Amino acid sequence: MNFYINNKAQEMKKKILVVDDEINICLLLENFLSQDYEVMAIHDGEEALQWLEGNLPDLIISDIQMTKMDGFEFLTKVRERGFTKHTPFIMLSAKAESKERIKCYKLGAQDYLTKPFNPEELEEIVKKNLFPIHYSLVW
Amino acid sequence: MIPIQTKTNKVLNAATEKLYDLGMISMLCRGNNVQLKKMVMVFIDQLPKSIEEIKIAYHNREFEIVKNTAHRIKPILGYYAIIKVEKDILQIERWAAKKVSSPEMESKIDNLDKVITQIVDQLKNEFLYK
Repeated sequence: MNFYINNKAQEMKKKILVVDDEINICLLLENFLSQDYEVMAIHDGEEALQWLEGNLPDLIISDIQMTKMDGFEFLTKVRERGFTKHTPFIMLSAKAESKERIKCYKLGAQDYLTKPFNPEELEEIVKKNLFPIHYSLVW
Repeated sequence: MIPIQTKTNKVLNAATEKLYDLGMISMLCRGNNVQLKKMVMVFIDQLPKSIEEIKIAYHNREFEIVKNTAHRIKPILGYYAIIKVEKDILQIERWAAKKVSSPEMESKIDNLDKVITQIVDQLKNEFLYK
């Protein structure tokens, strides 16, 4: 019975796609989030779009400044696609300017985190986006 | 005699002073030492390459590469609490954005290189040679 429950829990893990061209950051996010979620880390936007052809994550976390395709273009393309039109999207950036945040929100990002982020803040933002009903009940 | 001893101690302290703090990284690894070691190994492998990229790009006056690489590694320095070059990396990124080439910029890049080399050595001592 326990085996069945554990297996079910494993099956029900939410899937998060992480896109960042800095390997250290990808690994950090993977380490931190993989305890509770299934994490797929990809190092550029183009490759991530290819991955999205055959996969549907519950949440996307992406850096802005990447070499092959920046986060703005990646987010725009994600929003253009039918299947990922409403997938929650969190932007990560080392820039703290409000101009950047506004641009992200206008393009359809739900949240914006400045690197280096506080792990607890990341955890709460991820939960808020993955479990919005739970969050609305709390409030 | 006393001033000489004080001076020597200061030199010794500077050489052995720990230039990073793994508190935040450890928290992000949820206290898992295997993951922590994996993170540190990636730092040891990648950071010197990024610094080399900055040095070569600056030498070739490729300021866009200097700016982008500085921007990319800036948060990593934050996660490892490397406060000694916190302002330098910001300044390098800003000056590179303005395409500034100056002895001060060169000195900041040299200092960044020196500090990262020291940190890599310290991390190797802590994780590889123990």
